[in-house]
Amino acid sequence: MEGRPLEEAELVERAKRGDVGAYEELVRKYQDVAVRTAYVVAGSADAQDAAQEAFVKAYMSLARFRSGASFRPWLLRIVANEAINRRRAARRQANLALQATEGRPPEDAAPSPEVATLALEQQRELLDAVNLLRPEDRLVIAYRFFFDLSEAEMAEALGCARGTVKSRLSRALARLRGAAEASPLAASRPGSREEARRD
Amino acid sequence: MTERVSSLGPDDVLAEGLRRLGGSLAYPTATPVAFAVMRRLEDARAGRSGAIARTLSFPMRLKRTFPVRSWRTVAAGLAAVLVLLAGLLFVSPSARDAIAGWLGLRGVRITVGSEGPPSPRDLSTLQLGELVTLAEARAAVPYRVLTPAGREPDEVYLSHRFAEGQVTLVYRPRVGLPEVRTTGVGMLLTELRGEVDREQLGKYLRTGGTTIRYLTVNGGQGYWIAGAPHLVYYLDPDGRAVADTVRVSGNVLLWEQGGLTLRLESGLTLSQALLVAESVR
Repeated sequence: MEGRPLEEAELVERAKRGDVGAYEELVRKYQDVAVRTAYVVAGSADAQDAAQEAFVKAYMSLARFRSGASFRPWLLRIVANEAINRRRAARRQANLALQATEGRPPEDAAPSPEVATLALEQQRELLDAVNLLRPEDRLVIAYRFFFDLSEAEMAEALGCARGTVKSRLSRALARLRGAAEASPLAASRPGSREEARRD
Repeated sequence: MTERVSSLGPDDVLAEGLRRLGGSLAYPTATPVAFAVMRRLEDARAGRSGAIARTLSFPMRLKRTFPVRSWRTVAAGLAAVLVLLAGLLFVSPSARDAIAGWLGLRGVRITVGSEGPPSPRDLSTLQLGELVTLAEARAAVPYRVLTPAGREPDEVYLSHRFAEGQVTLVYRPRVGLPEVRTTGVGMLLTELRGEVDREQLGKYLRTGGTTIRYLTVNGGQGYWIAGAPHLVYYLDPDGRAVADTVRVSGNVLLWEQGGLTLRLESGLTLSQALLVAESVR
């Protein structure tokens, strides 16, 4: 029936049969997460182009898409590969940035200036550490915490066994902590480098 | 026992911090991506040699301005399709029956049917209102008149059919902007204050040569009405039909934005029309 949103599986099957309109719906559905994924890896300079390229490559690879599988992680794997390749080719640092409204703690109705300043400082420190990570670690963290992918989706998107997702996430978080220790911002904050906690 | 805790805090605090960070990053907009992708796929489908291969090696830059060049790519084919569908409409009774149906909108009613007047080709027959300047239109209505980025309208019409006014921006046909056979213009962008009555939408929809797709446009609900020519009846803000405002349209993108209903009528493809819509400010 026209006018009724089609299920994703139906859209994929139609697209596999050459229905470009069906594929367009998939593109529109996932273009945000595709650009965001590319941004996490390659930064703002290449994010849109990488996502665009990935969508075209995905369309040409649809024959290899396993029917019944989830489209999003399959697509994100292509996006991430494209973004990683572009970042390597560009040989430039791909630092992420905060929005112009940075530092505003979400859901806080009216934080005091002191609280807002502290939240902003913590967020900058965290961002500084994320920016020191290699793309593969950024991806694991982004999939889990930024985009809220399930474990199964992460496994598909990362191209690893489901049982390895937790260990990869754990290693990425450990490297994030290590990066935070090396961060100039963290170093400049007295007492923030480490503290002893007695259990 | 002593445990070293980094400045990022315990795991649960770090996880919450990362979730907040993920929501605070300055992600680029994804708006131009779908258009760029679909244009490349359409080029490839149309058989323009090596389109996919070339662009894979030399990806085009995304354009955020009015897609004048891109219109050229589909103008001829789309015009031919419209002519064919229009012919079917007026010749075949079964075709006429097949495209009977309608959607109800609080601001706008779209009627798909066969009881239309001859296709007007003179703007004066479109009953768009009085010819004014863009500045005059903006001064005359209580809402902000929006325009697509990158191009001023060739003509602006102001109608007082609605209490708060209706503004129509007219873009003449040009290279890359095909003439819509039934109106004789390249593109019409009509703006009025109103919103869609979703309960009515699609209730009586039947399909024939006309297709209606549900979309998200600029964060609001949108509808793409394409295929066979169809009739458009405007309703006033109270839902009362306004007489003698019937005309035959090309493809129409209808969407809500900032309390307005906007109606883009053109010979553009969906991807191209969406890019225009997304550039409207």
